[in-house]
Amino acid sequence: MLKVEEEVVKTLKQTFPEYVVEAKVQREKRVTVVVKREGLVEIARFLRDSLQFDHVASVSGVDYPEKNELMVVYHIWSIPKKVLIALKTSVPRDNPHLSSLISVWEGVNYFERETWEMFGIVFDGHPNLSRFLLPEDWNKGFPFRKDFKLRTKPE
Amino acid sequence: MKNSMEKREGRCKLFHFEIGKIQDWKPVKDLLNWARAWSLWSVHLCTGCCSPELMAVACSRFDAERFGTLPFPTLRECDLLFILGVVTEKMAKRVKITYEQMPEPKYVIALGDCAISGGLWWDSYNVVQGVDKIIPVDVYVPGCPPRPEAWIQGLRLLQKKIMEGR
Repeated sequence: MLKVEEEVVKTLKQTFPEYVVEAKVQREKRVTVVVKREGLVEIARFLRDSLQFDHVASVSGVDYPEKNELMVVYHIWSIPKKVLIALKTSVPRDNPHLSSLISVWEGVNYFERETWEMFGIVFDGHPNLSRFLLPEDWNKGFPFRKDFKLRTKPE
Repeated sequence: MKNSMEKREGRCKLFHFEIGKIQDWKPVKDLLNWARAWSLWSVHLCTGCCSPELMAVACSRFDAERFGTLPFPTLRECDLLFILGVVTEKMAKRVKITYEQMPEPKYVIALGDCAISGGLWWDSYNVVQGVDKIIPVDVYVPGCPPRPEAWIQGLRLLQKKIMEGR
């Protein structure tokens, strides 16, 4: 039980002791790793090349206004190993810059674009960071952040 | 030569004038409205999830073609625009373009709660609160999604409206 998952966690902790903040097995086929943002690209490349993580399932964001930070979550499947890893990293809310993983997985293109549009996290090195789901002339801020004001009563 | 051209233009003008006058004449107007009401070819703008109902309405069981409503691929030959479901702010511009491309006279039916008033997404940042903010709407069909019977009732209401000349 959980042999493959524990091996992934162990390898990551051994290879990047300075970047991995937390790594644990959640349950069968699910691994969570929290990393520092400086080592994100390096760890992603290691995941792809050495641990066979090859399919990006989703990229999402979480807003923590009380901690003044935004979290980015990459969900990546390893199809040979049948393990889904949640690669989490945090950026400060005042300076939400993160290097794009487009050099590692091509599949993050649209996901990162959407995360930028909804949370305002700027992915440095992304080829086309433009409006995706919102109108082209949108200027009301980032709708998935918690300080975004929605309507309180129907029009 | 010039003289004959002028004569022809004059005749054309007279012809148009006569046609306009005949159209306003009540029996002819009624006849035209009757013809319009029974050949409402429709554009179905599938913006949301009321669009699967179209299959039920247009196919053999409910068969909207009995009432002359044929879903048609070319919107420049259509008279009726169905707004099927939720319209986002981004889609609003496209809805307007679609509406403007259709020839006069044109009619609009808004289907589903989302198209009528925003529905489920009344507090959303990106949903138009009712399609009548963008284009004029003739008939509203409520429901989430509307049953095919409600849809056909909406069609009959529109036909009645056209035949009464409103």
